[in-house]
Amino acid sequence: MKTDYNCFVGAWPFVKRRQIDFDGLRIMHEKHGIETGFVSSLGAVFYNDPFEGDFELAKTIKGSGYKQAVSINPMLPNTVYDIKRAEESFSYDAFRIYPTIHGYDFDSPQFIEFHHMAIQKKKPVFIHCAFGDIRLDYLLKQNPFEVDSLKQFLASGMRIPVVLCNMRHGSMIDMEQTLNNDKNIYVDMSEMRHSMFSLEDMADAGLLNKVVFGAFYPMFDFLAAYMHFDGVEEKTCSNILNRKII
Amino acid sequence: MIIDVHAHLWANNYKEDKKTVLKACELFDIDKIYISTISSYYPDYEEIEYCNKLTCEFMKEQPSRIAGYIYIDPTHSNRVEVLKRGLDNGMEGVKLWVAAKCDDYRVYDIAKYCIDKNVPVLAHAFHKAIGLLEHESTAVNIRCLALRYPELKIIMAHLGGNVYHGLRCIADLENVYSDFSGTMIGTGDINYALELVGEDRILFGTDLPGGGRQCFAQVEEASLTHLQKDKIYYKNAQKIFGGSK
Repeated sequence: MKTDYNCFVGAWPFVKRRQIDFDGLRIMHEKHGIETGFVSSLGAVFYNDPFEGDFELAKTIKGSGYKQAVSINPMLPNTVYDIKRAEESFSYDAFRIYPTIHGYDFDSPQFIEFHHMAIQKKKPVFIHCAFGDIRLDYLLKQNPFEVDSLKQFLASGMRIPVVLCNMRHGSMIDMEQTLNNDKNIYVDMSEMRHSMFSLEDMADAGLLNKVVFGAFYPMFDFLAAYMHFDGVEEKTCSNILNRKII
Repeated sequence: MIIDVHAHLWANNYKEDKKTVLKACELFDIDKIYISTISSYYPDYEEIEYCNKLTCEFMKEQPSRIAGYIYIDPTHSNRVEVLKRGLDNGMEGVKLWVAAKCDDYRVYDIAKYCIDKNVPVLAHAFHKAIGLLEHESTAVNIRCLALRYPELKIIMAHLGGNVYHGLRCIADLENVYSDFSGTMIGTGDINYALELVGEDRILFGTDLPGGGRQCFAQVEEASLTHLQKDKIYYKNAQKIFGGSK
């Protein structure tokens, strides 16, 4: 099933974005043959009660065949309770985290506690290595993304699938060894905008089997990721689009 | 037909960049691509000469496909000489980057010469929340230059870095065009640009060798008629690059 691992519904508070509702997402997916997605609430990224954003989204996508990735800020005191409430209120399939926005390292006790919880619940974790174009941020100041810190965390071995979302092309290549050493780590295509021949470079680095499709729509143009399939062998494209991580 | 009005070679990587540019031209049927070679933010005289030499060599190697911008640092006293020499070598436009704001008084003689020779100026502009360089232009500087020289054809790069801030700033100035080269890929930016300045002032650019596919994506994702696409992909560029008198 062709899947988008990085898609959102809702308004980004700092720059105007269009087609931000679920219908806009679905129409875009249908147009390009994407059958489902792990969708998250943009509002929940910023709420100090992310559950409320997730709960709203759950009602919106119910019965659609889409899966929900709930937004987690491990630094909030009510994270454990939020997850419990989510389990009681709706069905979700993954966790999505934003260390550069919420400001923590992979060795912080709160993150480690959350990670253990994700392992217990056997849910994949989508880690956003950045969120949007930091040059255009207004009011928000994201922490710089620390590749070394992430490498160290991933080197401990992932017992659940992890998708690195919004990772820049150069960092993916830089993490070649880490990615290839662990069958549970994947990267999405949303930041391939920095290279013209990104998938080719990934193939050269032996990383094609690590790539899943994710467009980061509606923050980014959907086709900005999808067009990286142009000129690429159909089988390779199909493998990426249909890749299952769980 | 496709004309890319904004691409580069990086002087320290020019051999690889040439390959990337040509490979992209083949894959995406880019018929003509306007190149400037750049290197450091604050180049010295030799560096400017070297960059322009690399561009000219690329033009000679690929005459049907590669066109050149003259890279000029306005703070250099020989700036007009550099401009004249570039035009003599067949280059078709001027590239201003981040060494001086584009409305700096030292740009005035460049502007006057460009008007006289009917040569467009591609001016970098980017409104950044973080990392804005001391002399980096924003759309406000483009506006000031355009108001001072209404006959000067200006291409504001990257939609000014933020379509909502940048394009609004120059919307009423008919001598300012804009390209959407670069890595900003906000959903709906091209549709907004069209609403604001119309289809005759938007130009296709990639900012190659860094990325580029997203620029095609933006055109293909926007709600455009065939005619609008043609204007953006090449017709508007054909009008601007009329060549020197």
